Amino acid sequence: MLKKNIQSVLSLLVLAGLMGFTASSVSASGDVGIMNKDELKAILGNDDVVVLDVRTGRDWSSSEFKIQGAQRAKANQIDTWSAGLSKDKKLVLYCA
Amino acid sequence: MGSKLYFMDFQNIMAAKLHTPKNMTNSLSSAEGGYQQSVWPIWAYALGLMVMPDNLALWGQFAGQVGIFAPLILVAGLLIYLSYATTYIDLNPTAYNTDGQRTDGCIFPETWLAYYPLVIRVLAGVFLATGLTVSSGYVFNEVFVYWFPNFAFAFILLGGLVGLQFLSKTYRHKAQIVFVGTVIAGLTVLIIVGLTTGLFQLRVPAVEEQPMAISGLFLPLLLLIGFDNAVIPAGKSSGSSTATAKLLKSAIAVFAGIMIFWVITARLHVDGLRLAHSSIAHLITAREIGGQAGRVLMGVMIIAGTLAAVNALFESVARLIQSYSQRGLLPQIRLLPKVAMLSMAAVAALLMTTGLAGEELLENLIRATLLMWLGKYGLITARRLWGTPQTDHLEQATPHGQNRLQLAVTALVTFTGILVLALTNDRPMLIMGIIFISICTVLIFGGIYKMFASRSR
Repeated sequence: MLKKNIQSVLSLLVLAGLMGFTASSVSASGDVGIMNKDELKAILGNDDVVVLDVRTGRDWSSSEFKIQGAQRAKANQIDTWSAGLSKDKKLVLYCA
Repeated sequence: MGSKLYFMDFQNIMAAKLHTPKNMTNSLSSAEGGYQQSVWPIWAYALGLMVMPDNLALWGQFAGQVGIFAPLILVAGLLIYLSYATTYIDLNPTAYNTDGQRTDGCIFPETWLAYYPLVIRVLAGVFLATGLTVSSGYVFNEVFVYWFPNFAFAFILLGGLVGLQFLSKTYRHKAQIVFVGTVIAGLTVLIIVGLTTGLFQLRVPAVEEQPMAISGLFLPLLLLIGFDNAVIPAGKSSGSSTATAKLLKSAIAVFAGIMIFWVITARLHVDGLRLAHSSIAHLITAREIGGQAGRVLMGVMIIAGTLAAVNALFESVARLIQSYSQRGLLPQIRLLPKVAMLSMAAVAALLMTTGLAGEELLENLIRATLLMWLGKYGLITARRLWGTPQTDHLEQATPHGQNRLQLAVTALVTFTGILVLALTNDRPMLIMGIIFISICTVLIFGGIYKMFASRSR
């Protein structure tokens, strides 16, 4: 009986933790929008839009398709490429 | 091409209680239990790694990096590899087990490096299975079926390869012939079309104003790795070792010859700068030559090349484990080769799941493993350079006529190439670190073996 109670409590704690993590993730990502391909296509080529290809490894090297005008931006070199980006422009990051 | 070679049944030879290479040479002519084997599987396994899609892309980069010197550098690389193949056979003129991987065991017998051939093959099998199947998944999605999940196809390929290992040897060999044959046939078609259209359009490769990358000088050393995955048959003495050496060397030479034409064709159709910096140089070249049809053909070749490389590695590891068990380097457990193969596939699947294929680390792991494989060829050459016919259990001086100067040049070029290819990588310290850790692992296994071997005496 005690063992069952402990299991129930642990399960509830894990569930609560997961819910909290999910909530925080959602709230943290709330500042960053999601764009679909039609929306991107409509603004592609605009001067105030910078498309960044953040794919790494084989996600990038194996793919034949690269968005026209996209800049390659490696995640481990974010300090390098982010310094040259204008904060006034719309940044669109795409991954695998 | 239609010649047959005889494989000796290792079990029958062991039953006759023949243990030393010298006894084996005297008795092979009267040994029973031999069976015929076509030469096509020998070629197919020898070329298994060479036709992998990573190499097809690297050949394009090579063509872009070294420009008009590509054929010359390739011929130099071919000569180095012919030396490796000669040395490989010289050190084991009378292989007497069915799978031929005993050659590797004979080269580092009962030394600290005894497990070196096995460790590098296992690492290559795991990392290449991870990377190549994922790449094939992307190709399948982007070339053939746009909606099919990339990783699903990668897992299907890996599962199919695992299933193939449970079929009989006959089916595995036939499958390997089909895989390699598909890539060779595809290359031939693209070369013929590319050269024909290129010559009709009077295309001339442009000479770019860019310095030649020094790594390009040594790339052929990486791109021809894998001839020692061939199933090498047992022979009666130096006669059939000569035939085996010719088979191996002809496989390497024919493939190198095809690639000479491939790099020329690539340069006729694609700008050198674009080739040199593209990760999909092979796809771009195929597209320029044949449009959508060329792209589809290259897609088929990429998937076939993946199957050829991973199947050759799985087969090679299984045979090597069998050989090691027979030599007492590993426990004699009948299912050990299959367990090892399943473990490799499971680790590869796990690495795919954790997303390693999307990390630059995987490329460094693959490069480090291939450099260690190249190091094995260097060690073989160094061993032959400093060894004597007596220490190498040869009944006579090498019948294939390599002198010490040739061996010295080969060894020098090999180790220089390893150093250059490591140092010109994006992360040279990581490459060196991976090599160091792997060699330490090999030495630890070798030390444990020597410790137990000396206690049992």
